[in-house]
Amino acid sequence: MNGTIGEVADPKLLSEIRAFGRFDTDACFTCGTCALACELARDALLLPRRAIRLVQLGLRESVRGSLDPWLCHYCGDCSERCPRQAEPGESLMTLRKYLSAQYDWTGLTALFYRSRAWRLAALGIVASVVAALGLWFHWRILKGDVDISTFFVLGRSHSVGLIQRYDTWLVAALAALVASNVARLVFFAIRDVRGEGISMRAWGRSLGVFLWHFFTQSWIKDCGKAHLGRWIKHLLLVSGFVVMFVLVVFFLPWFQTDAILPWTHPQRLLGYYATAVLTVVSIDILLGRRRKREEAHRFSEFGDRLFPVLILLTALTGLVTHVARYLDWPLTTCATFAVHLMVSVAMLAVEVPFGKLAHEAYRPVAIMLYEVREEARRRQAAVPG
Amino acid sequence: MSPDGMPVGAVLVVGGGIGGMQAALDLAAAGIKVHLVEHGPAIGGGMAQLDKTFPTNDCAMCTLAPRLVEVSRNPDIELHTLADVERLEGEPGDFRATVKLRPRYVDLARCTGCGACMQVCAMGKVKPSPDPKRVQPIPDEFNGGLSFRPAIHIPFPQAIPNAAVIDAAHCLHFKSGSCVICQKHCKALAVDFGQKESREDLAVGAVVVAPGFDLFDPRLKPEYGYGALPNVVSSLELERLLSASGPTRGHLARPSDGRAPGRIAFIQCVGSRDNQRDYCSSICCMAATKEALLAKQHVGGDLACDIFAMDLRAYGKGFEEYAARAEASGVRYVRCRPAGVAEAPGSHDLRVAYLTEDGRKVTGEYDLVVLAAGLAPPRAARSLAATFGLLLDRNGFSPGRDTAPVDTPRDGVFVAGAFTAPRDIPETVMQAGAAVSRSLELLADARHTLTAKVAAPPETDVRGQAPRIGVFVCHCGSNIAGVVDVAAVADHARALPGVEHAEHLLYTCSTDSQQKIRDAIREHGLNRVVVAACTPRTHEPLFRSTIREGGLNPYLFEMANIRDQDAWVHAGDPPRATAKAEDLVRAAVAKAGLLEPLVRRSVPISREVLVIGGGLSGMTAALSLANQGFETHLVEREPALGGNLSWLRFLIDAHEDPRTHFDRLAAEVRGHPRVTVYAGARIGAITGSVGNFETTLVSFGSPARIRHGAIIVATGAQEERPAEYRYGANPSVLTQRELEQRLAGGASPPASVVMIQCVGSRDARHPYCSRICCGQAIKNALRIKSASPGTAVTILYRDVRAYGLREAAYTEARRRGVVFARYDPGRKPEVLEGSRNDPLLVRFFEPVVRRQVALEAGWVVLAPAIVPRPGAAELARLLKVPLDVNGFFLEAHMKLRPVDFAADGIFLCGMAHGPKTVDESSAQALAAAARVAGLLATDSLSLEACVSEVIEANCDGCAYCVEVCPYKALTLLEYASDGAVKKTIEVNETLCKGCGTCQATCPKKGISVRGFRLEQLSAMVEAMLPGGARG
Repeated sequence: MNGTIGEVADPKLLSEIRAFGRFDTDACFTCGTCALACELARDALLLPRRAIRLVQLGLRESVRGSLDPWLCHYCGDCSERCPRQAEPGESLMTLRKYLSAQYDWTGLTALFYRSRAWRLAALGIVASVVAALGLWFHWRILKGDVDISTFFVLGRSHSVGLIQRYDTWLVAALAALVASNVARLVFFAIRDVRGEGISMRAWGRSLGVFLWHFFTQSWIKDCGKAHLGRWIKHLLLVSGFVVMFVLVVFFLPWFQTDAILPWTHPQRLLGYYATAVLTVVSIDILLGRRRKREEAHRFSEFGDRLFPVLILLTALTGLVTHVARYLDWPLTTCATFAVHLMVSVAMLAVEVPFGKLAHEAYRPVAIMLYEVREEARRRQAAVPG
Repeated sequence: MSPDGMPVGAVLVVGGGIGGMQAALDLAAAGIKVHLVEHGPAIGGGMAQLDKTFPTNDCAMCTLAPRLVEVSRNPDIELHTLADVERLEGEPGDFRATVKLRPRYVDLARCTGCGACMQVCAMGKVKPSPDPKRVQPIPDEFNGGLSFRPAIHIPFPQAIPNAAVIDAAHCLHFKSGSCVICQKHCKALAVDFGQKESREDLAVGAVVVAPGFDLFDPRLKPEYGYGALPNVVSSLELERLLSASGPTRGHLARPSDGRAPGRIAFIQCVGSRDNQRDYCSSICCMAATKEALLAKQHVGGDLACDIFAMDLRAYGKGFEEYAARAEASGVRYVRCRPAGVAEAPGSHDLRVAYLTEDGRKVTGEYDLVVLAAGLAPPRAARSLAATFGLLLDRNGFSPGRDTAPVDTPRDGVFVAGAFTAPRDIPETVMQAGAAVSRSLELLADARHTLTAKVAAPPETDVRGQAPRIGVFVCHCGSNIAGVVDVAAVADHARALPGVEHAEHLLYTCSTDSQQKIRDAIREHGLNRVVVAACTPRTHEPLFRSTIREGGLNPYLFEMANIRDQDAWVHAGDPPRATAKAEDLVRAAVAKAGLLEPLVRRSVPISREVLVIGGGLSGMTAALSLANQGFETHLVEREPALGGNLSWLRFLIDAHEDPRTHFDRLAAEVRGHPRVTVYAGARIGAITGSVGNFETTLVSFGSPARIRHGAIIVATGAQEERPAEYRYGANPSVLTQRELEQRLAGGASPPASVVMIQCVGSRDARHPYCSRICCGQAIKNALRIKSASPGTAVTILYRDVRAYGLREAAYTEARRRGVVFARYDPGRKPEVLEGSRNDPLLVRFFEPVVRRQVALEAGWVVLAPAIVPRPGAAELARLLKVPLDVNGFFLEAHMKLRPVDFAADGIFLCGMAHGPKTVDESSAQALAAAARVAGLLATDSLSLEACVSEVIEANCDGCAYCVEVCPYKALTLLEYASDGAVKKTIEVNETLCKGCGTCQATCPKKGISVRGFRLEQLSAMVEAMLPGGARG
């Protein structure tokens, strides 16, 4: 007998993970077809086989520290080839939800993934708070005898200033939350990376890796030629998001104005681009999920549909607000803007740290850690003797 | 029943494969008329297409061909080919079957199987064309479509009936009405385009349904490229590519360019073990192993063979050792299921991605990929089920019950073979025998009522005639002719003194060749026949009856073994092999000249049976024999009947209760007027021989002596006491058997149970697989999950050998949350003392995640090796029968004679033969009973003619021979003659095996073996020595 006894299996792990979605290991007989079907799988990354096996065996610590689920971009090839229809791709999807819940110290992710009611309630509460804040402010302003004719305008300093202030707080809070969760991801996963002689330079380089994958998610295109379309859609969606995010967070006074600008103005062009991309891609996603034709979407359920619905609503309410403003319908502008704020803030506040959108942070971090580890492994292998 | 209450003494056997043939032969031997109905144009089934058989690499056709001939020449077996049963009416003992006969367009009575029609058929000359609108050649089904055949054809050279058949779907006559070229060329006037479909009613007392299997069509798994990529072939196609009678004449060539492959990948489980087909095809792991070994023989030892299998299922007798041999000779087993096959760009080489044992993903390049297309139920399964009232499972198989493996819902109708579940040849043979026994139980009173009386032409008296010897040299396909110049050997023989006629034949054992031999006897007035071919061990009886039918005494026959002793061992040196063949033929001819007619005496026999072992198998065999009318003596060493059945509590099929079966069997055995049970008794001594044994039993009371005609050995096997994993040291470590008893006793399972498989099996001490343990573990795991769904069950295995329909139970176990984890024999799990809550901790290395995993366990359950009973060796000595290296009894032939010993009159069944399950033991027990029923069908037995004979003039009664005789067949006699006491020797002809030890010992030439007299043997030696009697 040498050293540690090994990780003690916990038979309850599987049922805990199943609370987050489908995890059909029943029919699995570890034949390895999934790892052979996966274009991303390679020696150190036997997707999705190894992650699923960890769950089957009940190795809680190893599962919690596993990067594999984040490296999967769910092309669905494994599920298509699985001789037992055990849907390994879907199992990894479930595992990503489970892992998100493990990283999130607040426990809200777990709550929202396991309960549709709580998720809706959370969205509702945030939206109500936004609405209440709006009403409260406006009620105050109204009491102060503001000129009604000039009130329902977006670009007024009282509105932009306030929103920008709240905006910054919100983003800072969300960033802090996500950062703390990412820190936990790194902490859980670091066991595998630690002690492999990784230099500071490698860590430095890995920042570039993080940014690259944050913006491009380029592994999707490595899923195989058949999945190139999906990668382009995802890229468009991210670009729309980033444009909108940058405009709203950093350039709000420039973006939210009462000025009527020519349609060639960059402010309008960027806005249209982001809106169009978010609208079209989210509709495409929803239609795809409804048809459930692609392997990856065969098991999409409420939680998976909610996020594109929120994007679509955000984009559409933003568009209506814009149109109303240019038509100079102040009341409509104001009302749709309120709805726009309710939807978008709720989406950001719930989905970024506790939902689907968190993967935008976890995935590139996981890829970064993976590549750092691989680099170290390569270097070790290259050392003679 | 007929009005007089007598059942019909005939049985309908559906399917002419190895199962149907075995059933037909056993039934006919037992005095029952057989109607053998075959869907296709010839009998032989799947085995006819095989090149060799595992695990002995015996030539398949060489073991099958004699059996085909045996069926064809048995007067009590009526063959109906191109036939299907349409309707079955009536009741057990009195069925009426309507058989639809499709036209052959060739008159069976006239066709000689000469093959002239095949040479001239226009369709046989069509070449493949890339233009799909042009007429394409007809793929030859027998060669898996790798070659083409004419529209009129004989399915394969050894086909029975040896007659042509016209494939009307492709025949130009039926397409355009004009072509009659085959009819014109048929000298026998056998072609008859006017034949119509007809129907025939058959009266039978019972039915055996053995339609076999169909193969899965690998096109349904497009990811493997079968049909699209030229170098992806099915395992049957490879079998044909390896066969000397196959499309490439045994030269292994890949389809795209005819090159010999350098790397072959075997992909297992194509069309088995998936969600649509939740069963294991049982035979493919061994078939791939065999093909890999044969391919290496053909191409050379450096041929790389990779077998991709999720589990290596080497569960049968000798399989594990066979796979180990393959591995030692460089065959690589990779435990994964490849997801697809792709062609390397710009060539027809193939790429297969796989996972290595150490968890790397690798892409291998191969010249040839072989898909193990699974066994599927016969395409006609549904209509068979409707016609015969059978139940089909969700896959379309028709399994029997564990306790009644060949019974169906309809009384009097029995199933056998691969139709019940995917199974290999010996198990099919066993099931066929079981169906025979069940039929005979029903029809015992009707034996010999419909069978023919044997009528052979009178024997020509050759005494005083000068030898006129005929020599027939066999090509054995290319087995012999590929090395030996058979024409030269025939020429050589023709010139030898006494030789009247010599020729060489493609297969001497085929029906047309047999006819040629008979014709030659008549035409040339032959009075001795020499066949230079394979071994007399398998073929001598066949040729003896051939010359008997030609009017010669069967002992005027001699064989020269120019295959096993020449072509096979001197394959690298054809000229000298030919010279040796000539030597061997010269010796055989020299002996043949001195042969004399011999007569087989017949002796009265006892029709009582001794069954040794009172477990499931012994009781099953005894009860069936008693029901067939035989007095049966059942001997059990323990004070109570039951053996392993007495502790079994569950079967894998939860609907079956082994207790009920045990109680019923024991009660019926005890209550049967024709069964005498000797419990607590042991065999003291056995004397005598087939037909007339005498056994002394030692029991608590006085010794009993039994006279009997046959013996069934059913002594079983047992769990070995484990010597590892803290067994005995910690009370929570138990065996599967103990677990079963605990569960049956109502013990509630702990929170976690860990099972460890292969404890003492598949290692240096017991190199074999204990076969039953995987099923047992799954069965007990399911029991635990039923009793306590929250209990975590982990099974640590080396390969999950849930063969056949057990795969579904394996799936069910996983579905219910049982975790299966593989361990490597080099890194066995460790059992450690645990905490108060979980008394044990099991630590093992998991190969997928490549990590040490620790499992807390309330119980650790071991699957110990199944070992022979301690008394097996002693019993083998008493019976003079062999044991295999593992101590189990060794049957006469691993494929076709799985219940016989080489010694006559002694049979085996159950775990004495090797580990097996309840249904397998039951089937084998019934099969042993069927063999006994054939042996003891009449009151007398005809004896071997080649036995020792005392030459009174030379014998002085020194009795040297008495001591050395291994069969105790000789006794010293003293008698008074002319006032002096004279001594001589007496030979017991039923005991004598003609081994010749006495002849070799006798200093006075006072005893000799008929057919092997000293002058005959020295003539052989002289003929072989240089300067011997050359022509």
